[in-house]
Amino acid sequence: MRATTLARAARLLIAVLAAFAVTADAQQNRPLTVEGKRALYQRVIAVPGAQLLDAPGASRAFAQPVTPFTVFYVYDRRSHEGRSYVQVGIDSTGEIDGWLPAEQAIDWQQTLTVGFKDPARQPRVLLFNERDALREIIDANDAERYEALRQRAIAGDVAGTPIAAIQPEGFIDIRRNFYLVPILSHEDVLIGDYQGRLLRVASVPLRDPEDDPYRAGIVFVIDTTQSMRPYIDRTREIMRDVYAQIEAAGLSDKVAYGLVGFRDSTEAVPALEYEARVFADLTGSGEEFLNQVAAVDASDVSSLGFNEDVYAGVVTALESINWSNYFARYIILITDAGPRLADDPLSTTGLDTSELAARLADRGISLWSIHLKTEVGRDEHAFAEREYRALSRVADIGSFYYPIEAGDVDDFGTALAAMMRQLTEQVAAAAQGFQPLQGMPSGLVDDGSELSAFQQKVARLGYALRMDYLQQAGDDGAAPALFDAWMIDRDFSNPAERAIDVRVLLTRDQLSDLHDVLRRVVERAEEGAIAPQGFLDELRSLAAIISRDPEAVEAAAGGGVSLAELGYMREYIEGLPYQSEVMHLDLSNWQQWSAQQQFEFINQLDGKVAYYRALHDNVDLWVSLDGGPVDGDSVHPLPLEALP
Amino acid sequence: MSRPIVTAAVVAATVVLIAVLFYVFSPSTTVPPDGRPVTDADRGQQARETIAELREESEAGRPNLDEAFARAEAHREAGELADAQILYFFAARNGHAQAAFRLGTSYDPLHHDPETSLLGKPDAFQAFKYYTQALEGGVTEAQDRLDALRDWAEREAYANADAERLLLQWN
Repeated sequence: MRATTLARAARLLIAVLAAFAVTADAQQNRPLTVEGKRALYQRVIAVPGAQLLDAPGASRAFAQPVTPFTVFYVYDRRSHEGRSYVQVGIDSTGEIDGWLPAEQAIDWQQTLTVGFKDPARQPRVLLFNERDALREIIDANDAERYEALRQRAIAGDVAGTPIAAIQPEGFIDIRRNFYLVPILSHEDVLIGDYQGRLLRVASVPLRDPEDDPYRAGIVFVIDTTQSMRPYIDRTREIMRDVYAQIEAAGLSDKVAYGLVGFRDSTEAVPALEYEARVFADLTGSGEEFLNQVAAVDASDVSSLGFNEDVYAGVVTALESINWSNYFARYIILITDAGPRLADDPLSTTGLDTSELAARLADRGISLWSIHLKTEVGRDEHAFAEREYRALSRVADIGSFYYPIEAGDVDDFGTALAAMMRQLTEQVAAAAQGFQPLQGMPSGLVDDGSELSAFQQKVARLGYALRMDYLQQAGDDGAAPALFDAWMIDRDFSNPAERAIDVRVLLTRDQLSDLHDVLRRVVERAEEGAIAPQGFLDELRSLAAIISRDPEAVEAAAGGGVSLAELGYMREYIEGLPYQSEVMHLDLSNWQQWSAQQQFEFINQLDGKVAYYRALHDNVDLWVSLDGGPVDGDSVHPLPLEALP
Repeated sequence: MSRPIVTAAVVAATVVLIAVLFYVFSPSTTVPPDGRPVTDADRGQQARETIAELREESEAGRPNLDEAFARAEAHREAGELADAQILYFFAARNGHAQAAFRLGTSYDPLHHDPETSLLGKPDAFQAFKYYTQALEGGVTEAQDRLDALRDWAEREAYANADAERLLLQWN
């Protein structure tokens, strides 16, 4: 009995100590909080060219390059031999990624960012390279000069002006394709008769579109043997639509298409006419490409066996097409046959899959395999799949292999159309000059299907390519990779409307916290509309339970009472360039309010609670900055006005 | 004491007395946007008393919601909008579908009528919320209203942040 009691006590003690150890560990690994706050963590943004070190002052030989504009949590700050360093982690769970020299990490405490509006409906915003030059225009309310500068910026003639950049011409919806223009500081100004904000932002220079070498080259390598006629026809139909979209988006000079057809060894079957042939290189117009696709004939002659000289087509695309003018390079391989490998006497390339994959990687070409698993070739499908998966593999992302079961022509069409649409969107995004972060491409729904899994990989690939491109663009020394710029959030031409949205980057956990607190306030206020006498006491009790600021609750006990004074959500709204009316309403005379006033108060809060809940549950509106699945650290750029 | 001083003292005392009487008997210290003092009618005093009675009379914690709805209808007919709103709200909050439909209508940007709605302007989210509740409670007419509300939100989404946010509710 006594032994049992002792054992229980020991187990209890171990459990308590373990819990204590876990708690202590968690506390040690929490990010640093913003000064004066208890729940807001310090954040920094990595500049282009930033490199993560193992320790302060560690050799750069082992440094890891960081994706520009990565948002980190700060875990520690130290000095080493006169230099300051910041210890960072991508999430708030305590996992450390390394140390950044302080000059490579921009402090970004309020996580405010700019959301541009559609330039078709709102004049484009100017970014100035000097604060004072913009301030002079504001103080003089000189709308004419602002407009004249805008016209010069649109014309690309900004020599001798204080203009650093202009908002990109195209519109990208920040909620669907996330980008960052971080706001580093802000001040209140008057734009005409309206209260506006002068913002200092971190930006990268916009490139002259004429000189911008970001172009995508996409070459179809298509099996033109007897069985392929329906797929060639469907490809032509889809490409006609794709071209129409590209023309409409003004991207004709940003993306080019080529076509290589392949059959099989002409030594074995001379009537096949060719092993591989270029039908369209990347230099022709869209019309020429479509005409060439129309001219491709599927052979009337059968090849020998079900495998074909697929790699002859890929090698022809590699070697006979001039890829040098294209930054993003894709080969779309479409076939129902397996490849002839090096040991196959009918292989004209003598290449194995691994050798061909290495040659593709050397040229920076991503190959996507669309494998038509037709009934007639079923015995070879497993072999072909294994080889094509290996050929289509991209490090850290996965294999760009997409099977079409039973070779269904409609399934093929759906998949190819979705892939082409996504590639076009990536080219459009790159052409806008935005700083992309990983987000779900518009219209992409993660429904767990093979196509959506494939598209997720395409999104990651496009992101990696654009980031790589931006880093290269910043390294040439021609323009600074990152600079401060100043802008205003109202336009002189229509100061009543906001010209941009100021948004605050909230994590999903923070939004969940806001939702829970606000919901409990609303529940009490609703009861307070029915029976108002107990409302204030209820609100004070709740504040004492959930507030992270008990001193504020105590201070508010005797005087005027507003949600802000009671400490509700104060951390989220304090210091922001935004005055919350509802949070500062004096509730001390709630009983004397009219029912109309009470319901207006409740409805304002209730609408926000519902919005937060819907936002929280819409997973595709959240961006996972670490590239993983959406979790509590994922972010959404919430408009300031949507705060409580 | 001279006559003018006495007169002045009487006038001053009268002013103070009027001020004190006004303070004591004034129904409110809050002034609504239209500038007039808040009255018991503005506060929906009758409705609150009704609710207190219904709660007291309630069986097993379930107040008579049909009675609350009927009283709300009567107040609405009489133009006593604060009382009507509070009673509809009380009934809807406790699950009365017809009351929810009434509230949905009063908030609906396509049906808002200042003559019969306490709130000065429509609130699309509240309309959505109460129509949804009404539909779940068996008021089939609410489906048409929700469809129309969605069409409205899609039309207005670019220029109207409330409409844009409302669309999320259908995603």
